[in-house]
Amino acid sequence: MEDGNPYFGAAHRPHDRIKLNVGGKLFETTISTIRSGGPDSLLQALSARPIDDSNPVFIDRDPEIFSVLLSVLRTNRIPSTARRFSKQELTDEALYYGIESRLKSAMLPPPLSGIDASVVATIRPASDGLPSAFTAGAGDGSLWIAHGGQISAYDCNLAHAGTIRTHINDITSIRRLWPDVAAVGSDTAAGLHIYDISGGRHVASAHWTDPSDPRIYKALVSAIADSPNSVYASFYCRHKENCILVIDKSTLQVVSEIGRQSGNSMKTMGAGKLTYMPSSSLIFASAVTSGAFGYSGCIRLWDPRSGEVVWETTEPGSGRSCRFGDSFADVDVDADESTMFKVCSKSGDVGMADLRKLGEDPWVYLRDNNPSMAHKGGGDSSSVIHCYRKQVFVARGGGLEVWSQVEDKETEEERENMVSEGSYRRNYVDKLDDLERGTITKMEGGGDRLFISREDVEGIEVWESSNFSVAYGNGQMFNNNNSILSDGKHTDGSGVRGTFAQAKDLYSLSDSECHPFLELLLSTLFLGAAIIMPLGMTFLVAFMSDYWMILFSSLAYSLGLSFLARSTPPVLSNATGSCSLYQPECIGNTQGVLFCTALALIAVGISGHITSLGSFFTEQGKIQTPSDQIDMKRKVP
Amino acid sequence: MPPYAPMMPPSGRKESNIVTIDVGGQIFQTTKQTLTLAGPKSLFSKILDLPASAQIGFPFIDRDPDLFSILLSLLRTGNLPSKAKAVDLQDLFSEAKFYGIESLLVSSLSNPSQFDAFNLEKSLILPLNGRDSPSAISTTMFGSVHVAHGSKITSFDWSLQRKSTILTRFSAVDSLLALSPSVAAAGATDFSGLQILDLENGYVKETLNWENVTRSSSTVQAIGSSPKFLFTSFESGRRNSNSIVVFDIENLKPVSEIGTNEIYGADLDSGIPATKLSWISDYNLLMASGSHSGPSGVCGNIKLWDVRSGNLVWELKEKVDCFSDVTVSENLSAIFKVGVNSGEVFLMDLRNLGAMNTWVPTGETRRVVNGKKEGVGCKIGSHGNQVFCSKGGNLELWSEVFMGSTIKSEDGLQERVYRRNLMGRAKDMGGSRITHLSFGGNKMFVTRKDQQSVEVWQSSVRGF
Repeated sequence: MEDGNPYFGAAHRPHDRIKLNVGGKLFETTISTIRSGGPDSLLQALSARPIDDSNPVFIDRDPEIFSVLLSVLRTNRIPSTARRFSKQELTDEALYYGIESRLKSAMLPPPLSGIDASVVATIRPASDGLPSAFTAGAGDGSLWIAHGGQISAYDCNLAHAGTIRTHINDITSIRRLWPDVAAVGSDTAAGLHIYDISGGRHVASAHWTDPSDPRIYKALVSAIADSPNSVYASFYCRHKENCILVIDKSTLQVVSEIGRQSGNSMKTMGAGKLTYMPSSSLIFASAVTSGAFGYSGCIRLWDPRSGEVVWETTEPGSGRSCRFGDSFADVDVDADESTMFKVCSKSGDVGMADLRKLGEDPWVYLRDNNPSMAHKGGGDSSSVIHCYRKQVFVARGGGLEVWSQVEDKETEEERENMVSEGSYRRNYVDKLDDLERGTITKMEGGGDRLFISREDVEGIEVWESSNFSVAYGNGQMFNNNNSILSDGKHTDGSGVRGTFAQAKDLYSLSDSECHPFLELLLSTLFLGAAIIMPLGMTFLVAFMSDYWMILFSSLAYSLGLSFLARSTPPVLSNATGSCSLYQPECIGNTQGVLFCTALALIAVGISGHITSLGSFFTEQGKIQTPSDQIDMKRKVP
Repeated sequence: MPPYAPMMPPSGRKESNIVTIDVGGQIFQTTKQTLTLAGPKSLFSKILDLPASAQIGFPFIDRDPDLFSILLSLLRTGNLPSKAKAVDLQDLFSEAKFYGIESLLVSSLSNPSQFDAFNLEKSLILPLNGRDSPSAISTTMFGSVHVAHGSKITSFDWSLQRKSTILTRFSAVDSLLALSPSVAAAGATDFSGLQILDLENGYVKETLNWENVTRSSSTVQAIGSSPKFLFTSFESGRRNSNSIVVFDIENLKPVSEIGTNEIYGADLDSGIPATKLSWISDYNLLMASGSHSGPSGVCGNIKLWDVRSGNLVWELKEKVDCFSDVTVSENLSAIFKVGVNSGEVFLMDLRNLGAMNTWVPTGETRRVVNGKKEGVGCKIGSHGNQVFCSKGGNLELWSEVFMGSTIKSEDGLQERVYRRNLMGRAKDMGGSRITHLSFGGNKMFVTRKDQQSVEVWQSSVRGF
């Protein structure tokens, strides 16, 4: 309203106003409103014309959409009448009038708040739907997804803008360098490659070469970052030699090589995550590996100009850390706030460090004051951490939580001089149902949207905050849940059904319609085996006595029961360190093998008992009376 | 379209660029330029041609103003507005017919330029009634499709919302080619003669035949067409002769015969009739290909004919890893084939034919041929800049990657880089073996073995 107010009630000067005839409908507005569209707009050009009230300027466009755009210009927000038009239509029309930047800013979602966000869309590319990398780097809410060898671009309305095929077969890192240009890297194809997305062309490539060192051969790219002038790419070779190459953005030539490492120890691994921090012009590089002995990783801050390490830490470290043995599973840096956050692999705690006060052990651990969330989800499943808009999003397995600061006036000063780890509150972003959609593999924020990819799930979820409450009836809610879940995996919580769920996963069936059929199939197979096997067992009894048969089958039975118990995730996780939930992602090959062996052993046990138990008991009874024994001897000549 | 109408002199009202129309009581204003976009045959050109003196008030059209506003938006922007979603497409189409702008409506919804190979999704299933699965399929440029199943031909219009089915004399139609949305040529390998069918009324307009020296009847193996000619590959049972007959597409009179073959003695190769005819307009050549499965494996030939002179321009005999299916792409100027043994896609550049005729594998590595016939039943088709290949129930899309010229040596890539993409989401994968691939408008049509339906793969149209 700020544009209209100065004229309200004041003496109207007629030459401040302008009349427009759009498609036969007359509009009247002020010149300042018209001019607020920007200097290059068509409306700006119109307002510069001499004003002739009797003969307004005629624009041959749809009047209804114009009325929407005019109220965007007047109030800076989208009116409710805009719901009749698609976002694409509004954008096209705004492009015609040259006021697309105003519309864009009015259409942006409200600031992302992790404590009040929901999935608004799932973006699924038409083919090769498993995203291998994505970037929301432009910051306007647009998204580029690398899936297989293709890159699909989605604009700020999340509408599909185009897809190109690269020569790489699986892109594992992507970074948007310019509005139309992306740098991609792969862990199977050598080099950093730069593609023009709008033209669909390969523009340039950069390779790490060193004629003096034969080990530097076909170096792969694991992470890409960029500053206004340079592109930084983390290269590594087959034998783990690694470095960060600095590539000039204007010439696309390699300028320098920083931090070459041999890669022969955990401390010298190639960086899997690179971030350029504009405030300090340092590069944040982190590397994490996980193995049988847990996680290990290192963080380094590089000065790209001198090529020196400014600060580094390695976990598990030398023991000086107060959390020795609890190394981080993932780390992310908030470049705007100059803080970094890590999530611990064992305890699942979130640690924070101020980049301005780095020392031996800079970590401060956030206290969880939310009693309802007390000690839920340790670090036993894979964790991803991402900082966006002063919030820390932590994904544990399939669940998503957010640490956000409580805005408090008293703590304002404290925050200035002290890290206010106590002011962070932890909340779940998602619902319990969302857990089942799969382990979160990557999160990235951009344009007040949070984009999330999950393991083996097609498409990317878009989380947004909204100022509109979405009230819906029961039936609709049911449908909504269905539509979200239909692409995810489905599991059952209870024990027996849980084991069947494991079996289903062995057959890699995710469709819920198959559940009853498979349950029936497995149970029939098991019962059938148990019933039919006594036929063969009777022949076995001829070779060994009933006694041995019972002993053998009892052993098999109890072994089978113990295998069955071990195949459940909570028990198995003690031994293998895998996750302990009754969820498809927690169920691996080990479970499958154990479960099937268990079923087979139990079937052997049951059939052995069926065969021999009866005759063994009668035999036992007969042995006690000698006359019977004699009778038997008579019968057998 | 001008961005806005120029200011006119206050006196010159009658010279005004602005046109006011009253449609069903609602006043619309637009410019002359917008209305002339509708074309000279439309109702609007008549309104524009009205002498200024004859106008008393505004021209009045007694039609629904809501539908008119949608069509006016289409004229202004070239796209349908989203409020058109509330209206049935058939209503809109009949209204567009009234104004004489139906071609604009069709092209806004089903324009071949909207075909986006990477954004194709399995969007529709067109069911076919009865128990016969499709035996032939043919499309027109704007996406209407004719499907032969059993002795019937079902035609779907461009919006795929209307269909009609006619009965033919064939027991099964083996080749079908749409000559226009309502006329198709059909032939069968077990029924003599090529029939030109009127699909709207379901009668045979004309039957075309080829007779060899023995004056016996002949069956149709393949149909192809160019803007001027209709090509038909006939095979006669007597004396194992075959020929490609060129008909004039307008009056359907035979123009010439090319490549007449008869088998003499043991020369089996000459007896292979062409089973696929494709017109290469950039080169003015007709590609005829045929293959034959014999005791020594599959052998076949690909021939390029100059239709005017009737000369054989180029011929390739396929002995090892013969094609299972072959297609020509003019945009990529190359012939593509699927090898019947390897199942791999190969290409041959059309630009330097004749020099060294070797197939180049499009994939990076060539699999070892282990004697299995991996490529049996594979279909290949090209549309736009892409090549589509079916492998069993899956669809592959081959696309060229345009590489900067400087890096090829470093990355060890070939001159032309092709990459394979699997089409569809996980739920669309698999299914019965694909029997036909066809393209029309912004859609791809897929038929599968034993499925009494046609799958439509479509990229989402803006606003719909």
